[in-house]
Amino acid sequence: MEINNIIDTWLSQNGKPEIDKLVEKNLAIANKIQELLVQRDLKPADLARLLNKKPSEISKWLTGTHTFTTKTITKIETVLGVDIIHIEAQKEYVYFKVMVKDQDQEQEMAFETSNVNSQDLDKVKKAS
Amino acid sequence: MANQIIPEKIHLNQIHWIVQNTVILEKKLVKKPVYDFKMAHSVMHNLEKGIVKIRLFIDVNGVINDKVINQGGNYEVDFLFQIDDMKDQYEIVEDKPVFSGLFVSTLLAISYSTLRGMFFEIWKESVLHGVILPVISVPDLFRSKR
Amino acid sequence: MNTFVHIKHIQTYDKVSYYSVVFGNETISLFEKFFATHEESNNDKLYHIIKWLEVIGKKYGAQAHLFRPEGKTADTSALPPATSKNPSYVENGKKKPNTLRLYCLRANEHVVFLFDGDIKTTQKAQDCPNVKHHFKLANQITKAIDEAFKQGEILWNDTHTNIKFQPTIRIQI
Repeated sequence: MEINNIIDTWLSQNGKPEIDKLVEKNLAIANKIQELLVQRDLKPADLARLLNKKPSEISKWLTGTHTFTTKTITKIETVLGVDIIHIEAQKEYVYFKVMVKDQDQEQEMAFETSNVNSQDLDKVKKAS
Repeated sequence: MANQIIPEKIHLNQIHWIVQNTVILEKKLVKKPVYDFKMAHSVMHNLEKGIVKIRLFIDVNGVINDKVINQGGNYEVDFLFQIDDMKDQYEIVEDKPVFSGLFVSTLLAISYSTLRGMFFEIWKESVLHGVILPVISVPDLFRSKR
Repeated sequence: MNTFVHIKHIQTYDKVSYYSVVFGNETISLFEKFFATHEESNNDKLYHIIKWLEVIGKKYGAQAHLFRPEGKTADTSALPPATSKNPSYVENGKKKPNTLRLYCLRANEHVVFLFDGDIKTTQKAQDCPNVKHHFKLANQITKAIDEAFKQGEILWNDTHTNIKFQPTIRIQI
């Protein structure tokens, strides 16, 4: 039998990173909901009843082809009592400006040996 | 003269290896050596340009069973600091500038830490890859003048 | 009229192997025709579906809940009696109508046959002239493949994760 890679070939020729991410996320969410239903021994129809929706809508959600709204996800989370999506903790970034070494500045510079007052060193304990 | 050190006024602009000499023995050693460090420094300045130059001198020697072996290296590195408002960091005494010890030790500490990273990098592919400069006290750093 | 198809391998992933069929006198499979038809005009929707096939193939397997069975909403009275297997579909699009639908046969979690499909222009599939004919075809091929399994012309491997068949087999629609 001839082995082909028709799907991979087409995807790599047409790469759309935004859609890639969307499809992956939708499937992950659908899968998570399915897992939760199975865990709790619920049928899609049960979830439909809890949310006041038609069973066909729930079935559509579970295919992973549906793009959820945050509103819908949070409704499902509320009804099942479990978070489906998690937001990671915010990091606080501090920004610095970095000076780039100026190549032209490599000239000879005259230096003088320095005198240092070492008496105020009592305050400083350790150098790293 | 206990003027505040303001980090934003200190700019480490240039780093130069003046001497970089690592010696690795060809033959296999009877056991893993420990390493002794010798350290010294010099401080120079250019008032007009507001630059302080710290030069660190490091000698590294491998030791097995209290005997020094010819494995290690000797190194000299320059750290050039551009200082904003450098006049805040020295006093003129007998026509010569005398820098605050606190100020110079800050620069020494920065240089020494940076050097630790540099050694880590140059030694990482060699038998010296486990060797890391120790944390030392400022008075000790200071005492080691050349 | 005797129409024959043969099976063409499309792609194998960790969890799913995809196949399609090629009609007797043609050179490309139904699935490749699907590509060709929608590549220009419905590129984004097509991309959604193809990417979905890849992610299922790599990560989730062809689990039942991921496929929608045709037949629940469609009018099946005009069709031959139900067989042990029914075709299902994968559909993408924001609003219905205007979704792009691809018909397929989910043989099990690891083997899926991909057929053809089109834009659903009406609320219900059975009203849509585009999609209705693809469904009919999917149904016919499904029945034939099902029969081929029964006759041992298509076999499962030991672990039921892939199929084996003679490259030369012809399945009668």
